[in-house]
Amino acid sequence: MNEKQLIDRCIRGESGAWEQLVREFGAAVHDAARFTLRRVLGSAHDEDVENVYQGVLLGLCDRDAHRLKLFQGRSSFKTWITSVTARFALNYIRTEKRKGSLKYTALDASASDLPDRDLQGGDADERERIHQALDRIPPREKLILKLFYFDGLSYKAVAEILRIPVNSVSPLLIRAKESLRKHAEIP
Amino acid sequence: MNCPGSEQAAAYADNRLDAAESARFLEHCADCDDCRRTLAVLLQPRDQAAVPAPMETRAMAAIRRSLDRAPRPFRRAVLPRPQASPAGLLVAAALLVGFVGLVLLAKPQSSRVEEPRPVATKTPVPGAVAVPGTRPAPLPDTPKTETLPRPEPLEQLRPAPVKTGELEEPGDPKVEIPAEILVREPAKPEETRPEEAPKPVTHTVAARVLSEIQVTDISGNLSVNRKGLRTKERLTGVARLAEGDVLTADKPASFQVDGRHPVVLSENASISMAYAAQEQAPWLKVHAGEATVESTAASRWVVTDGQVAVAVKPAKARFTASRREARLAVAAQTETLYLQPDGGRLQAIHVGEEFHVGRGAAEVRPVDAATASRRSAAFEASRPRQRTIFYTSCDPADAKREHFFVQEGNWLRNDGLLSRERADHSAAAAIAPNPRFSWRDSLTLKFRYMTNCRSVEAQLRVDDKKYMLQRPLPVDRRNLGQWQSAEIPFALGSWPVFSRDDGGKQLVVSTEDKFDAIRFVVRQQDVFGDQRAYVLIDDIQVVEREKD
Repeated sequence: MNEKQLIDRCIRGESGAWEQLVREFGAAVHDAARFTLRRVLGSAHDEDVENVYQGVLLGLCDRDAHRLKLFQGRSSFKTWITSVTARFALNYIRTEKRKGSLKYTALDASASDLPDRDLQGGDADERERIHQALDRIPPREKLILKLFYFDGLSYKAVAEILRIPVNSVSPLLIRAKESLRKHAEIP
Repeated sequence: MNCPGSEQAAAYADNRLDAAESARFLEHCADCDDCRRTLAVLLQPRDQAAVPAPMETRAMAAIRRSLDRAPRPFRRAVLPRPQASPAGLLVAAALLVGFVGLVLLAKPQSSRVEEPRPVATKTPVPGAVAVPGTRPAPLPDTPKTETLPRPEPLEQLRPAPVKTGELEEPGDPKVEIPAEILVREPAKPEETRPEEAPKPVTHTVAARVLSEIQVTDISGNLSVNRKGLRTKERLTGVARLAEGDVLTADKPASFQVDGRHPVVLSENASISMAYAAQEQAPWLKVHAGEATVESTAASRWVVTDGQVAVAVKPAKARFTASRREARLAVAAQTETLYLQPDGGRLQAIHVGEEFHVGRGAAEVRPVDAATASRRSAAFEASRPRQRTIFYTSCDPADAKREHFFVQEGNWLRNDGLLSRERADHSAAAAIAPNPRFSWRDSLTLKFRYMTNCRSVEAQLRVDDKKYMLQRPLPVDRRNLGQWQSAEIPFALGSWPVFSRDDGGKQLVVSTEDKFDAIRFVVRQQDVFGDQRAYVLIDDIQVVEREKD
């Protein structure tokens, strides 16, 4: 049975189909949940991973599989469900942070672990200038700076995302930093 | 920002976007943190670990529950839908026409017009007349409709014309409800109305959808005869009651409805309680004796003796309902009450008055001072001295494991309370009170627990100040696998251990600290034998005792 047939059966509310869907794609959901929580918060508690994992699967199932029906087939189902899980996890973090129930070190606090602290250090005024300057540089440069400095991704990961060779990342980063420095008037 | 969402990110990751779409999406990612982070999750190569089996099992169980769940929220009972037969459609059409007509007619009257209430039967009783002593109601009467629980021929369902003089304020415009054409004619002041004798009134009991109600803080000797059962059951603490259950009190007893409205039963009183979905009001049926109700917030009530039913309009007041001389009597004790018998007109009952209503008659009588004083004293003597501010329970016999909170009159559903294993080999069950409550010496935490460990630790967590109060409860080996009860007062001495997230050795607890979670933890090293640690928690209750 292919993905489409499985999804159709799930939409029809067949319990067996849901079991198969959980068996086939549950690992992707679980992995994406753990990865997103760890990436944003620095660590991932089992309790939170399960909340996201179950929340995503129940979200697909609830309201007559309303969310599942939104899958348009523009990607593989596994990629789509990973994307949905990442979104759900980010929203979960926001909600739980508002409630004050997350007990993690936020990314800001673990910034010292990031590969380069050029964008994170300095006083408040300097950070403010940098953030304002980020809005003035070209989007592609802004994106590469955020991926590398804010999200702490490796050269390889940045290259994967931007679909460029790995050895192009460094020159692009240097150029982007130059551009930022110019706009932020950092000596 | 117009975020393209998960679909676009997934399509980009799978290389399904063309060059222009990809460029647009990356441009968007420069400004959208969620899309950028989603992309990072999608495109980071990593080894995919298997889902832990218990997690997968729990998720599947939740999905099965979701698939099986009927879309019927608690307390929101739905009236049966009319059949899609031609007769049914005609009935629906007639009802709609009648309703629209009533709305149009009600508009020019006072803004305090009550909503129309369906009446089950409205058969005039020969010889029954309105009692002359009945006081005129200060609010306009509810419009009359002739709706029936079962479909009837169209003609019988047409709204009956309101006849001059029938349940009408003097001077009100004469109106007639046409059967089909809904044109409201303004009253002509110069028009004279012929004198007519008052029409007989008929009070009755309108059909209502009744659902279960939960009562808390039961005190006194109260027993219940459940519908269909011959045995009596003694009630304590918290109970759920349905329409057919009959509560009896040999001596004065009391409980709270909706967590905040005390009800006191007199000696040898017998009542039934339920929840009227349509009025969103507690429903009280008096079989014998007296029941005194105090609405601590503006609340509706429906009171009945089985022959007639009276709707008590929203009031923050105390009243007594009783059966007197084959009539239902409702006495106002602290505030003026506005009462409306089913099929009758609205009545204002002032303090010191009692409204007596039977099938064909209604009257207001004064209450003698001695009776009023006796009732007031009896209420004060027997009313509940504590208030449940939080309660959750599950029925171990119910495989669905449904849990309900009662909190400030609201009911909320909760997750299961069977402990879950954690990474550090402990197991914990937790609930999050909503809304949170703050530290008060007058509070007590009560719960039942069953475990296979030497100790259960109750924890109170305050997220704002990142600390936790702990109270270990030793478990006797003989009580393994047995339900046990615990009561822990909210006094600092009762919570001997604390832990701060920052490892600090001192703690200042303030009365403004609000608790985010109540947790019950057992640890693997405390297990008797070689089983997995577990704890089952039930009947978690936080009660507030009244200060002396």
